[in-house]
Amino acid sequence: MLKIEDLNFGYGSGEELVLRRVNAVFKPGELALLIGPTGSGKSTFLKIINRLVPEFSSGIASGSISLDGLDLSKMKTHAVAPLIGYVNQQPDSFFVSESVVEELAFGLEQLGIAPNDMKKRIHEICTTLGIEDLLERDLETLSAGQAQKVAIGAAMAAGQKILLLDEPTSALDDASCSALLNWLRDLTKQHGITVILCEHRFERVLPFTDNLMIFKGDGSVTKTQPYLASIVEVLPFWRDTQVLNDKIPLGPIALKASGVSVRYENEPAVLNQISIEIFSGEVIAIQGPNGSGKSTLLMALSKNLGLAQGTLEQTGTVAVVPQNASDLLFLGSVSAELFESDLLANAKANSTSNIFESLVGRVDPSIHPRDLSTGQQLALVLALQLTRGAKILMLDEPTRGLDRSAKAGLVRQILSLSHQGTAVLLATHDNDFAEQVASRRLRLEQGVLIAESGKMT
Amino acid sequence: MSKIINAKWHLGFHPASWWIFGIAMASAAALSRDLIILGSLCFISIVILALKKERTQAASPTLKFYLLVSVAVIISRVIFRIVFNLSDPRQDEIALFLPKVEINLGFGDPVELLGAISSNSLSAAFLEGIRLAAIILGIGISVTFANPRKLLRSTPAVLYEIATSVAMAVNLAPQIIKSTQRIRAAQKLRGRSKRLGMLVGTLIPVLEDALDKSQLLAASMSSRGFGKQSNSSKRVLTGMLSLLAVLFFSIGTYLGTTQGVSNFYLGTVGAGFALASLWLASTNSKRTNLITNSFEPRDALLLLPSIAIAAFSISSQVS
Repeated sequence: MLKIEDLNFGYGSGEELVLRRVNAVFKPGELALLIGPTGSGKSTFLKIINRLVPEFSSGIASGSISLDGLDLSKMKTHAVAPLIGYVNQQPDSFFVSESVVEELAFGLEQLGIAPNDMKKRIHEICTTLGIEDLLERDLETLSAGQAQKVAIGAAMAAGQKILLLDEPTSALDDASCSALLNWLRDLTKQHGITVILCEHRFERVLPFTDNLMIFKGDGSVTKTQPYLASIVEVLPFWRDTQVLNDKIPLGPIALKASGVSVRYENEPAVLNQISIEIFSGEVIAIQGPNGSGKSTLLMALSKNLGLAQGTLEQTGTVAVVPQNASDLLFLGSVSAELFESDLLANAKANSTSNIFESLVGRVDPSIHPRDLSTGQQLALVLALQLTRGAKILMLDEPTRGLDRSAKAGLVRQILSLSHQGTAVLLATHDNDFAEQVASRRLRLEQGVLIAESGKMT
Repeated sequence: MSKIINAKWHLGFHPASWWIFGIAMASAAALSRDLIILGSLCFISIVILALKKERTQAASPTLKFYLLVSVAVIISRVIFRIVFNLSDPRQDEIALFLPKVEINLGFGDPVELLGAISSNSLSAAFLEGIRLAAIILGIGISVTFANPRKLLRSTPAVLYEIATSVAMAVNLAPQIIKSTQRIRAAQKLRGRSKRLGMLVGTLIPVLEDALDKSQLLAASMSSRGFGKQSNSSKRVLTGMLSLLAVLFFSIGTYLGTTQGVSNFYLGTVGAGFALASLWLASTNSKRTNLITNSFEPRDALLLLPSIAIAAFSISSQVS
């Protein structure tokens, strides 16, 4: 039983507390879901439980955390690891090895499990997660969804009692998501493992959860059962399925691609002879299973991939927001990033910061971008790229880590750009989001693009 | 099940083979004073580094990085020699006349900078630069082809703690290459021109990113149970034993070099302490390995040249 008493966390005197007097008990076999707005401390809460915070970050935590009577609050991360498995929000930046099999074995090796038992364990995990075929792959070649699965497998390989998952399903397609959730439920019910996960797109997760923890954004947290949660409390985070983008007048062709292929040595083609015409003002959503080549397609169409073959005609500048949005941030503070962006785009002062605020509200500009929540980082990168006034905008999984209001803000931004004649191409697993903004939806499977709905090319 | 066991994990050479080869190249360079030998060592290293395939890139950023570092080393070595000109130009042919600058520091003799530089002095500086470059390129091969973290995997338990710190330190070069790529890609995606403050805009974010990533790696490894698992009294004892070993070795070396007394007993006692501390450290580790790398026949392709290089450089040293 994991017991958290009077937990406070803050970045120092003068600053507001991120978590304030949090009390919670997690029973064996419980699957708990954490929800709340972007930046409300969900990820920090998970990291405090496995001691990554404050061991590897700034900030001060007080209060007590105990697991079956064992006091965790004085322990180091590595000492907690055999009991608690943890998967970061960006699993690929948290990998420690080169290949999938090494990554899965790493935790087991640290615990001194005998090689034969290790093989059995890895085999079990691979079958449940459906990643047998990935075993020999280089970690750097995995798609975001595949990386997510490998990270989860690696975190729980050693049979931990508690599993902490930070947005585990945001990069997964529907099939993988329900497979994972079913498997997590078996794990909790049959093996008595406690799973605590946070998720913004929690519609798919909610039916599987026993308990709900609501992070209010002011540091306070309430724990409740899903059916007991008052509608008023949950509603602010609930999805919004209104279709907003039916009729947008199409302009001239903004991008024309024909016969675009991407192939790595000794592997089947990632993209196979893709041809597409994108019109100004059009919002295209590209969907498809994990590893089908969505991100590669965006990189190829934006001429950011050296190995792509085929012809490409673009009529204007292209701006890309990659899946790891934080990759685009490299300056020391939010204000420096905002200033640089205005300067580069020759835009009026504060144009970037206005877009940023319209997405996630005001954020202390002196803060280091790495200390923003993933949702805030994404919003910042979106703002930087939107300010550039590109004629074609490509967004890779733009709703990861965004709460409902930030997502609504993004929808507004995309629609207003589309009315101004910008073509938007987005790769997403978020069906509701695609439904809301897209004027055309395409499906990518095994490197081939199939029209799904809306106007045909 | 059988699939996992039979998986091809031994693609390429054993990481230790790469390290032996790289160290052989580097030590051959360190021992040599011959321009032709140093030049060919550099050439061999560059050819091997060029073989490193990058999945998404046409030109190898790894090779580019090491070439840049090598050229920078050679140039800075020559410039240092020109500025801090210590040679006696009276005996040699003068290659470069520069005004002599004297700086009085307020104590001791005034420091002389620049002045007439002999061609011998210049070529010696160039040779030293090339030698350093050859050493860097040699070690570069090891770091590039045998991921330091991979070597960690096949390190015997006794050396684990030392190997960990070495691996982390050696990992910095590949991390800087990766960070540079990341920042450059980010700047390109954000439409930033190359002119804009090269140093502030690239160098500082690259270094910051490399440090951030190392910290992230440490956090990640820790969250997966990587860390010291021993009890503290054993750790103190291990530390004291290794300290004693170092102490005895140091006294032995000091006496050996200053008084020409080769001190067999001090060395033996030191070695004894070293072995005891290693043994104690190994009893603490309960780590296991899924994949135990073993040397295979093809490793001879790297190991035989390494032996040849080492033998050649030692024999030329003796003669």
